[in-house]
Amino acid sequence: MKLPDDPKKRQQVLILIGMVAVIVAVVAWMFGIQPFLKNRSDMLADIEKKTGELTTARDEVAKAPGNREMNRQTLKKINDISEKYVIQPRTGLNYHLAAREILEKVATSVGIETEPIVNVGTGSLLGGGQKDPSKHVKACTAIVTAKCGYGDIVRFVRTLEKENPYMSISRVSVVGRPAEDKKKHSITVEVQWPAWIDPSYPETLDASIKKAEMVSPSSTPGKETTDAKQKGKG
Amino acid sequence: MNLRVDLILESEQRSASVINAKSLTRMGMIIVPAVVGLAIAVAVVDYLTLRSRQNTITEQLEAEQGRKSEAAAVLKSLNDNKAILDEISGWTKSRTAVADVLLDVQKVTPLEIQLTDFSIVQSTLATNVPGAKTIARSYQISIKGKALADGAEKTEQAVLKFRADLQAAQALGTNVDEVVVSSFGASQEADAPKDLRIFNITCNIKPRKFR
Repeated sequence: MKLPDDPKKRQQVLILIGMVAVIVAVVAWMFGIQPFLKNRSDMLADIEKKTGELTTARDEVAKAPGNREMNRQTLKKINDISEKYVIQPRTGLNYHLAAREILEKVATSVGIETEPIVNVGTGSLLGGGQKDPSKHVKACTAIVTAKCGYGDIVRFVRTLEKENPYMSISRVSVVGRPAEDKKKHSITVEVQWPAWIDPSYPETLDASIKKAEMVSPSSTPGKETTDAKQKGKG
Repeated sequence: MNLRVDLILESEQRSASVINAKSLTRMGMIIVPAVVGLAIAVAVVDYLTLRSRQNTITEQLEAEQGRKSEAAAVLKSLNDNKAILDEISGWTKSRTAVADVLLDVQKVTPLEIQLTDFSIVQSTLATNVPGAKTIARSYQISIKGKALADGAEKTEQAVLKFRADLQAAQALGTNVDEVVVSSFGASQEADAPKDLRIFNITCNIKPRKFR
């Protein structure tokens, strides 16, 4: 194709070609290049996000065997404390028998004759209906009264504290009785043990430990699932 | 005299140079589409490569989801159990050895003083530690007694020394806020000796947090 010889017409044709080129370029930018670049940029962002998620997922999966072993050890520690130091109700929700047994045993061992232990109750540590931030443990409180010497009460409290590091003496009151017996004082000791809010928690704990021990610490999570499923079927 | 005759019209004149508008236009007509085509081809290949990478990562992520959920469940269980262990451990962390306090009081009580009433009472209070609300145990000690020495001044000194010894006692010491003689005075009993004084001493054991 030849451009017209007339310079004026030639200029017009060139301007027309330029305008068409600009329009084509704008249309190409708006409907071709720009959406393409945006799509590419979105895709890159998605790849980056998913790569991060994949790295995190792989890290978490890699840590799982270690976490599983730590969880098993934690459960065993809780179970150990629960069996030795957390007061358990004897029949149903009766903490009275358990508390009385502990206190009378210690009193006998230090030679104190206590008055019958009747005040045993459970409740939040904060009392007064306040919301207790601790969610699993409540306090079981028992009150012991006796007439004995100061030294006896020191031995009684020391033995209780030594036998159970989780138990706490929440009140001691020693009142002299000089008119009746100078050597024997009126003693009140309030003892607090931790108790599970859910009395069936020890059974839950036991089941969790058994479940945790069924899984070998070195096994991969995928294998564990298969094994657990097979055991479930078996 | 030289005469130059130019028979070519001005409109028919063409440049003798190799690089001229016509040749540039012709070259442009080949190079520009070729460059644009190449750019499009590169962009398409790049796009397809990215899409393939995206698909691969998506598939890998989906494949990892099951194991990830299981690992997350293990981590959650671990954190829950750690919280329970912390909670129960708080019982031993926050307690005060009351037997040691009782023994210290007995040890530092001088012959001039007779204790008539002793009490140590625990109170629990909610405290805010960064990131968690927790509770703390505090104890209030109250000691009532009688003091009798040679003369009123010595009796007073005995009570003040008792207060100072309590403050320095091993089980109390830095664990207590100031030991305070909250009341001190002559006995109101009719047959009481002249220099007999009755007193009341109080102090608080600093709160110990469960966590």
